[in-house]
Amino acid sequence: MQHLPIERLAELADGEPNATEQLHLAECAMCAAERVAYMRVVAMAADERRRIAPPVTNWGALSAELRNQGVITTKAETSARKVFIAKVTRMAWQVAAGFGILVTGLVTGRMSAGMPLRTALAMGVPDSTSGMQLAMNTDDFTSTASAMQVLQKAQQDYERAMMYLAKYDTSTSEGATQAYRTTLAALDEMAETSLKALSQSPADPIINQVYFTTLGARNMTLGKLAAALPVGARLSRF
Amino acid sequence: MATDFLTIQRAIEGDERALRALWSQHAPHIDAVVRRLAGDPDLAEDIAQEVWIQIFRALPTYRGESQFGTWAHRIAVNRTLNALRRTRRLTKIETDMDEETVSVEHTGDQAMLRSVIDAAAAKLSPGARTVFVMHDVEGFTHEEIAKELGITPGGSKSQLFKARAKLRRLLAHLVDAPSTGTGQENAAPAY
Repeated sequence: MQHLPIERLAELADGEPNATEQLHLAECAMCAAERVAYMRVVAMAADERRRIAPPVTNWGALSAELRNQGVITTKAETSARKVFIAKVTRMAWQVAAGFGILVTGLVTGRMSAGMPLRTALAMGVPDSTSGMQLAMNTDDFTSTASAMQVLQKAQQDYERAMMYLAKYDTSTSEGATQAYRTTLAALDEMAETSLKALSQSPADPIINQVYFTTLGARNMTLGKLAAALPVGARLSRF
Repeated sequence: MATDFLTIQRAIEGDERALRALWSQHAPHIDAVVRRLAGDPDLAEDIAQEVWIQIFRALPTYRGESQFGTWAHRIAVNRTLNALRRTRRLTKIETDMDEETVSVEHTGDQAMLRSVIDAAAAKLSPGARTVFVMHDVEGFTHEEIAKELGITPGGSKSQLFKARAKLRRLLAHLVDAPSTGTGQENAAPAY
């Protein structure tokens, strides 16, 4: 019996046999099995497309180059920061105004009930020491720019630590892959939510931090999951 | 995760956080495409950085007609092929498949991150691997591959079928049906 040529069988992995070939495939178990083997190769390749793995690029090197080439512009950063500062300032004024109205209301109320002005004022104004305590930890910052820098550095340190763990922490336990998959699903939900929040308030550094930290944690978990899988196993979903 | 228009708009304006958001969201897939086409992880790292710079530089031309990921994927493939051409890895596009090629050995983390088919494809000649990855993995047509690589659609088909034949032999332990496991090498019919 004349078998089908190898290259034709490879073609038939995702192609249709003609009538003669169809007859042959129905009669020849070896050629039929070969065609199935080629179909499996093609299916494995298609599955490969869905495979996900930690990136080979890193943002540190990429952002430096983007800055060199003028793709990242300080103008955009400054304008985003200005929008945020303006928003925070407006909120601070609103809070201050609300606070003033509250204190005035308290003092007026007490005076109308017959309390002397001095006593009403003493009771109406909140304990100044608690306000001092709230501000105490922020005294280290000299400006919003310095506070932003600290936030940015904290995020970078966190990501560096995560990348290090993803690369060198080989401790895995039984069921670790399932735990990583669960974590990835949760991180995806967090990323979706923070992305929505970011759309509402694109310049808010807190939301930005949450978003990037979530994506960083996602990449790290991807690395951990890929490393925890048996050698050669594919990671295409979690 | 879908990429929202506002993030892209901010990225076009040069906002680092928006650019970073796009990179964080799409790098696992874009970098994977580059890695598959390049074959060599070190080379992939260099090319992937070039790819991202190209994607970000081309952002103002993104019209939103397709998903951002699809648009970026096209750029990634195109840019990777250009980079490979520069490194003269595609000069032997019509290399005879019977010629043995040196396999790339990987250890540690890299081996862990590599799939079986990815490792097997690394044993193909650069030209055959490119055609195989573009057609069977990335879903390009033979006409598109021919255009990208400067070959004929027939040449693309020929390379693909030879690549599949070699992969079928390399992956025999995975693709052979249990009943056909005769212990003979490749378990293929004696043609």
